[in-house]
Amino acid sequence: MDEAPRRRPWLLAVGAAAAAAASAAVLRVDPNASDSWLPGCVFFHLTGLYCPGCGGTRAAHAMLHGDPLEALGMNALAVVGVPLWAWLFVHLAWPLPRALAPPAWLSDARPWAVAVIGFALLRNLPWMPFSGLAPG
Amino acid sequence: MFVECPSCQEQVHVKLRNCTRCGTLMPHFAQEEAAAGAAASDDGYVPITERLGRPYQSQAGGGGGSSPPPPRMPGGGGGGYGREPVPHVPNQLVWAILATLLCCLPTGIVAIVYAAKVDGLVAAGDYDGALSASNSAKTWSIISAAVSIGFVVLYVLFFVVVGMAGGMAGK
Repeated sequence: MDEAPRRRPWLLAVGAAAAAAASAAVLRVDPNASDSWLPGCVFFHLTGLYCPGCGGTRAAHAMLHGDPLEALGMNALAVVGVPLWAWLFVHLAWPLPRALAPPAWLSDARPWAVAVIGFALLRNLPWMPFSGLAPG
Repeated sequence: MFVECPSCQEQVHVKLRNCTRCGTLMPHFAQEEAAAGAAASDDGYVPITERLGRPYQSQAGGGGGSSPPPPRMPGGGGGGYGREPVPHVPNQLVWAILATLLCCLPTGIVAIVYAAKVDGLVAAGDYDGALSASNSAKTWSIISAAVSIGFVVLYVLFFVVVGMAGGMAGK
């Protein structure tokens, strides 16, 4: 459907609130601690395999504590992707003027599908250099 | 190639039936549909490809009944096929990615695959197929979110139950 690029202020508000809550949580709570109440990955718990999001909380924790290298080691895809997805999300909720809008190739799902699925497969390979993509 | 929307002054491409900002029916389509009569409006559903193919200025002569092949756009203004606008079919990429990373479920991957299909089908000109893939991507994102919220509820319940059991044991 040729859906109109609507402005959705409530979506922007929900997104900002979620981002703020998540940032506040990882600033205060260390997800590396064994008694952390932050939820772990259900998929990893059930299968023992890393999902594309595994290590994301720890990466956010490292990033917000000024350690980008540690963050890259936890979840490289999230470190690279989250700023870009945030950009796309803002554009989705509140269409930006052309000069500030994300380029079309960034919102094409095909390269992202390759990146996300490739990342999910590679980080589960148990040898270097791929094991470097696994969290921890 | 653009027409000003009468209600919000947005510049809307001539091939689009509704304003992309406020959704108002564009006047040149309103005229054309009035001329075509009630035949088209019975069903209500018009495939997106057919809507696109409609001429933006009805040619003189019998235009009713069976739809003629879409007329070639007048080749002025340095257009060409490369600039031919495509209808916006949302690929739901953001939701699919959020579902995959936040929910950590294979269903999120399914959503991303459908999102990728949307862009492939739009590139191939199959807008109805793209729309259906778009809806699938959205559905799988919602499934991922729902299942994941279910897990979170169970997780919280588990801790409540464990806490209560611990409390009863006099811990």
